[in-house]
Amino acid sequence: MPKKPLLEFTDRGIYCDKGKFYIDPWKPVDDAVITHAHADHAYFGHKHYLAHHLSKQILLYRLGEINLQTVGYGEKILKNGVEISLFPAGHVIGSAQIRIEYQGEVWVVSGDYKVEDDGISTPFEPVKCHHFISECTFGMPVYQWKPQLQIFNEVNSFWRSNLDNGLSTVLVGYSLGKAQRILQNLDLTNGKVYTHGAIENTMQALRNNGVQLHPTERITFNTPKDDIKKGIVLAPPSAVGSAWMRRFGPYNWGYCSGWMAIRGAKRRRAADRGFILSDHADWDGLISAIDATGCECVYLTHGYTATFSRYLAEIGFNAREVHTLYGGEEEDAVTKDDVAGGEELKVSSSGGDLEGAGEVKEGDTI
Amino acid sequence: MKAFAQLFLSLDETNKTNEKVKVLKDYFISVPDTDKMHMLALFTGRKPKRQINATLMRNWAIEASNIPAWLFEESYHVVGDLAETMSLLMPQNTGSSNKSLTEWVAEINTLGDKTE
Repeated sequence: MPKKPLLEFTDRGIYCDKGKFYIDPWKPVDDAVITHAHADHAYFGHKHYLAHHLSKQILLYRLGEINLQTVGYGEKILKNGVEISLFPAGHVIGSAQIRIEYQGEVWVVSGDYKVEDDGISTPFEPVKCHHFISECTFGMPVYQWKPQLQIFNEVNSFWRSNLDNGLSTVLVGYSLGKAQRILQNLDLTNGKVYTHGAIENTMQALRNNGVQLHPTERITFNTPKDDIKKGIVLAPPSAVGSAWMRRFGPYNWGYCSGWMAIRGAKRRRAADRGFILSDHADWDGLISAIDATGCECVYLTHGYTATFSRYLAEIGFNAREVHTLYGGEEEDAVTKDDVAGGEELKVSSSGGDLEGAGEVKEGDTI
Repeated sequence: MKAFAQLFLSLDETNKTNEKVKVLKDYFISVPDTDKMHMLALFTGRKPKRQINATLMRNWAIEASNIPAWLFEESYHVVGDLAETMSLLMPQNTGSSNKSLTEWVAEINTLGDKTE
């Protein structure tokens, strides 16, 4: 009888039967190892969570009171004789690849990753393994990123030109990852950075975790519109087209996402500017990362899995497609997650603190 | 041609009609009359006759981008526009040219007589 694989793909998530734990499960389980705090990887309802130290505050903020154990990169944890260790994935602050070893056999689950050093997330580190489970969100050759310095030069001159023309500037990006990356690369001699409640809460959670971030100011009812016009607004995708955002008009807004590489994607969102900035690996990044693992077999979990695995097979990899519920945090899950952030704000707003997405209705009258 | 490329980029970088009008005005003020004429013809759908058929162009693009034909087709499917697909897949051009739009149109119009 053939040996049972160390990791298997189940309807709850990636499962290690020997160690009795799951990786990024999407249904409630007893023991979950979490690659990073995005909503499509860190679900609510598990009895025990294991994640990186830098994911701690953000997981507690998003999931509430959970039973959470955190570790550093490279630290070894044993579960029923199976060794688990986390390695940097470079996706967002605190994101990790999960390395699993049992009797000399090594599997690595990438979670989401990018190979470019963004200056705030611990840079991606290739990990040698026999079996590599990889994402491929942007696994099409039309997705080729430019160095982030070049993109941020475009972003900063966009901001500068709006200031010169008396327009407000709104930059839209996911609240965990993109928002911090943008913040740390803005030219703050231009002005101050104002934030949507969902983004400010995320920034705060990271600061509570000891992450040093540039100063930001949460937008409240009392924030003067003229001040905002002299600065820049960071907003999550769910704020696009909302009354909250309209009150900053006249404004120019830019969408920061890998999907902006294609003109039609920008047009569908009616963005003034699309900045091609992604926290996922591009086509060449994916291939180089997979190659660097030296793996015997690569499993593609989410993204253009069919196309990408076919291409990998043609150039000599043993590649397989796997169906999971990951992916989409740059699209639909964004809204869900940021709305969740907004609901928290609503709760606090009953205490007289009217901020963030919870104030959308009131924002209409401003 | 640089002015024309910038015009297209600037038009694409705003969703506001007034801004687009301003961009067009700036273009018309800055380029020679023959360029204005060609720009108007291109933007109103009166393109010069196609000198090289799409199949040839596609084959050359596949060759230049060094990927299998099926992957080119899948990419086209994702992008939705053949010219954009080709520009995304082919290697970055390292050279540059100062020819005007008028000169480019004249040159393209002679291509039909040439051999591959």
